[in-house]
Amino acid sequence: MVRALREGDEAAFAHLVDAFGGSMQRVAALYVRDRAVVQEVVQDTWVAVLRGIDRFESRSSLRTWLFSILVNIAKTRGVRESRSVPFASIADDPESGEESVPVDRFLGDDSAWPGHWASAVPEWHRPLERLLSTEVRTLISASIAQLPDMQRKVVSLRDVEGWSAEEVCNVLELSETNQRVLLHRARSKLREVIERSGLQEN
Amino acid sequence: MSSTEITCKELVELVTDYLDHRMPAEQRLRFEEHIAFCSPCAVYLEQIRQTITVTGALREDDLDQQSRDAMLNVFKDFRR
Amino acid sequence: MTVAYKFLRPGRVGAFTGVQWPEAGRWLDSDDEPQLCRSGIHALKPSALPKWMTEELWRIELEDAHELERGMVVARRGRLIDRVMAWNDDLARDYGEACIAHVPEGGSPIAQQRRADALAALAGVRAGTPAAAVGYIAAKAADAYAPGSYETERQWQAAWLSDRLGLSG
Repeated sequence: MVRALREGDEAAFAHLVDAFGGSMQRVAALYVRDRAVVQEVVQDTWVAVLRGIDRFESRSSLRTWLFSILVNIAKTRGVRESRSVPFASIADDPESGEESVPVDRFLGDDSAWPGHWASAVPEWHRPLERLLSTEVRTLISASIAQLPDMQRKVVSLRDVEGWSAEEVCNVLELSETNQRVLLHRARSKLREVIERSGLQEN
Repeated sequence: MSSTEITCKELVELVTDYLDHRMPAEQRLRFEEHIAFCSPCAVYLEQIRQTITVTGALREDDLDQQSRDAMLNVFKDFRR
Repeated sequence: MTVAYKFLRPGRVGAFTGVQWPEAGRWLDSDDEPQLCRSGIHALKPSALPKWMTEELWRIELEDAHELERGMVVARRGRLIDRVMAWNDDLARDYGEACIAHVPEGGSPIAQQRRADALAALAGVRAGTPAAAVGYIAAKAADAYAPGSYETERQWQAAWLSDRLGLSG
């Protein structure tokens, strides 16, 4: 692939666009609000990739390299830089203890079953294939957009884009533990969103 | 055993560690031991898994044609 | 070679790994299965059965096995021998009833509450998590009646099961 790009193979570039283009737009959008600026960030990334392909050393993967370029450009253009802005809300601070499920859903210390569920967790009756409907995906997409900034970034990179924990920690400059705390809160929230939506029922 | 038992309230905070395979062996044993008899927790864990699957489905949205063309043009312009 | 026991979901599926076991007689090597190589193949001695119930109970032969604590065994390689057909919904019900009957009535309010909860859990019990739940609740009731007796109660439950199923080991 790298060699094909160096040789100016247009089909190879198109393959790359198809493989990464959508993801690049979504990742850029984590840093930049304006749709037009998102497109610019992505375009600038492609230019940088083409310019730099001759110098690219295959020690890291092409994907990792491409996205590190993208994130650097996006951060520079972004309205909020994740490094310089302190955690904007307590929900985003991995150091703050926070329950992912409301405490009142569990029995108290004076009961026969301290810490156990107070009532059964309502089962989801819609089978998974039908949970993947446009409706639910739209809801999840909108809910992710509303998450606190770092939770949104972590869950997007981990669960939407499928990046590894290590990649996410590198790009977001988080410790593995903090990354997992943020991921945990985001996932708990999204599960709750589905539960409350009624879309998990037939 | 009772003193080191995991409660449901504790378990829901551990699901991400569990799914990331980032749990000490002993804790993982206690986690699974709890799931083995606790139906609500088993349901909760499965719902988290399904949530992750739905989230992952967002990746499948195709790149729109206009954006795709714009990206391909970068290459064409570059080659000139 | 070690003989032990394994609970599987219907269709010989691992309860936590989701790995489907080959039919009886064929070896499964944990090195070949990504889900397993992290931890190897796990199986149970009869003393551990109450804590891990699913729908199907199998006898399993293990190679390079070593015992962990609390009746658990881990091995590199294993093959299912045959299914313990005596483990079914009817036996699960008998088991649940026996667990509850073994817990004295009376005692503290919590002991009584837990015993009542065990009885409630008995309704609709079947082989699998529901049976495991009754056993757990009953053992916790026994523990409330006589503090510190949880593990002993579990041992009693395991012995009952082992006896009724005709298990060895």
